[in-house]
Order: sequence, then structure tokens, then C-alpha cells
Amino acid sequence: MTLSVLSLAPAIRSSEALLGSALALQCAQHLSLGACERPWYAPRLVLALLFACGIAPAVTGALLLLTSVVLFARYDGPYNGGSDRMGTLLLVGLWFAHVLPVPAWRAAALAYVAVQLIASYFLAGVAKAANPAWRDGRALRDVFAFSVYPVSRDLRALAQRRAWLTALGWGVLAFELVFPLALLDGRALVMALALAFAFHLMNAALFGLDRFVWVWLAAYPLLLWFQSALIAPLLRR
Amino acid sequence: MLQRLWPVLLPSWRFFDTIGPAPRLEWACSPPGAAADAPVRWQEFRPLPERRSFAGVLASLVWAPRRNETLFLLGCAEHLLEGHSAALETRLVAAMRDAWLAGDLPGAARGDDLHVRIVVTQRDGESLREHQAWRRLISAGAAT
Repeated sequence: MTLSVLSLAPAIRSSEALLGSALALQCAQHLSLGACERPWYAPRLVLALLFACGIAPAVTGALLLLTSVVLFARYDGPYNGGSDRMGTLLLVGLWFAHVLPVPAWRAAALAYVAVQLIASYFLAGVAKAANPAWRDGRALRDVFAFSVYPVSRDLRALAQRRAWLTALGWGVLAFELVFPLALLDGRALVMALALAFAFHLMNAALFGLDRFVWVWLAAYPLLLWFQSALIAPLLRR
Repeated sequence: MLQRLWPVLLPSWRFFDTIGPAPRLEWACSPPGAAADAPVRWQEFRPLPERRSFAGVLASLVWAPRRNETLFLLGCAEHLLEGHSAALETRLVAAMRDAWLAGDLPGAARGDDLHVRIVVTQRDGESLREHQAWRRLISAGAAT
């Protein structure tokens, strides 16, 4: 079953508004630190706001991409790992959606981003499933016991709750591995994305991974478009 | 440029697949001129709060610049230990010096020398083991 088809233009606009806002928030945080990259983050903040508002997205998108590459070079990689990678990938896809001359090519660029979004859950699940420590609960115990991620000391005590962590670990594995199946049904996808958003909120609350929440959310409109405009018609044939 | 963009265009998405040794940044002060390996009283850089309120957690969803910077620096420490890189070492030392100048190291006096180290915690069977993996001295002159 599919929900009403989300057409390409509103999907792009929603994604740009969310991504621009997320990037603007990141820039504001960097500027509050007085980072030595201030000369890059100040213009990037303006560009992100313009991009969020849909003002000259082909130009602002290109300049945002340029600043992303410069910042990757300055940090010798992404500042915040996966969230910067997804943000830049999304930026590339949205920029192509404005500059490619053929509609099918634009759709292909955005479909690639949607596929990568699915892969971000599924491949993470595959990688975890291959590790016995995830299957017997040791991995999450170690995350809470000594990793750099818990946001407060009291969370370290959760490492002692073995049964709970084993169940949680299997829950994360199952969710990530079955996520692609949500593409088979529009309503299932909406529910899966709601669950995924809750998963990111939990990661932000427990581990301080706040940047993932907003960047991944920005890619969701493209996945909704991908399912309703490309996958659902294929399934109906 | 393509070298930078390639991992973005074709990411591996292997989040948290293994939980490896975890670095912790620590700092200490000593009177100027002390030996680089002088015994000092170490303090954790930006130690975690004991607990966080619900309001604090909500606020951190949109505003956590120091937390993100700390995660970045710990990431640098991790990469530094994986394979020595002069650029990473320079960045870590500069970040600690900036924190010192910004008053982010409580009790650290400008006239002292600053010692910085990375302590690694890792699983050893059922227990956890810690060891010092890297240590540097930032002389008092760097903070003036």
C-alpha cells in the first residue's frame, strides 16, 4: 500500500529546508566556540540559511559544497564522522537536482541519496551482525562501560544491565537489518522512519550524537519520494 | 578534492561495528621548567557530568558545541593512536593550548607548564585496563 505520491519538487524543498537548517545550526555552534575556522563558518552559516530558504539553491549549494570540502581538508576528514558524510552526500544530491539538465538524471542523483540512506541503516546492521560482541550484548556493554560516548557518568552504570543491553542490541540489529523491507509499503516506511528518528533521538540523548538527528531527518523526504514515485509503481506492475 | 569527496559519495556506514579502545584526554600543570615526564596530578579534560537533567538532554539536541568539539578531539586522539600523524598531534596540542587560554582548564595557571596525555581504556577479559598512550609538554611560553 502506498500513501499519496510525494512529488519530486516538494521532496527537494523539504530536504533543502531541513538540511540548510541543520547546517546553519552546526555553523552557529562552531562560531560560538570561537573556532579558528571562523572565516569559513561565518559565510557557511549565511549560505546554509539561504539554502534553507530556497534562495538560489544551485549557487548556495555549490558554495556550501565548496566549504564542506575545505573543512574536510582543514580537519583532515569530517569533523563529526558519519553526520558530516551524510550531510555532504545529501548536499551533492540536492545540488545535482538543480544543475543536471535531464529530469531522469536529477531523479537518479536523488535516488542514489535515498539508496545510501537505506544503506546507512542496513550496512550498519550487517557490520554489527558480523561481530559476535553485538550478538551476545558485549558491544553495548562496552559502549556504556568505557567508550567516549555516554553523555553522563550515571549512564556508565547501564553497562551492568546485561540482559537489557543484549535485548537492546538485538533490537538495534533487527531494526537496521529489516529497514529496507519498509520500502515495500508506504505506511510501513513512514512508521520505519518514525522509529528511525526515535532511534537517532535516543542516540543523541545517551551518546551526544545530536548532529545525526537533524542531518538524517533532512534525507527522509527524499526516501519518501523514492518509495512513492519509484518503488511503489514498480511493485504494482 | 576527489580524494576528500570519495568517502562521502560512497560511504561505508559501519557505525559502531566494533567497540575498540577508548581514549581519554587528561591534563596537568607543573612549575615552568619541569621535566616532560615529571610526576603530576592529572585531571580529565572536560569530565562528564554526574548526570544530566531532562531539560539538559532536550537542549543538547540543538545546542552542544562543546560536546561535539570534545568528541572531535577524542576522535583525533583515536586516529593519532592508530597511526602517528604530525597534523593530528599539532591539532590536539593546539586545541589544548586554546582551552588553556580560554580558561577551560580549571585551576591551570598561565605561568605554568601544561602536560597533556591520552589515556586509553580497553577491555581485558572481564575487566578494563588503562594505560598512558601519548604525552606532551606545552611550555608556559605557549600560553602567553
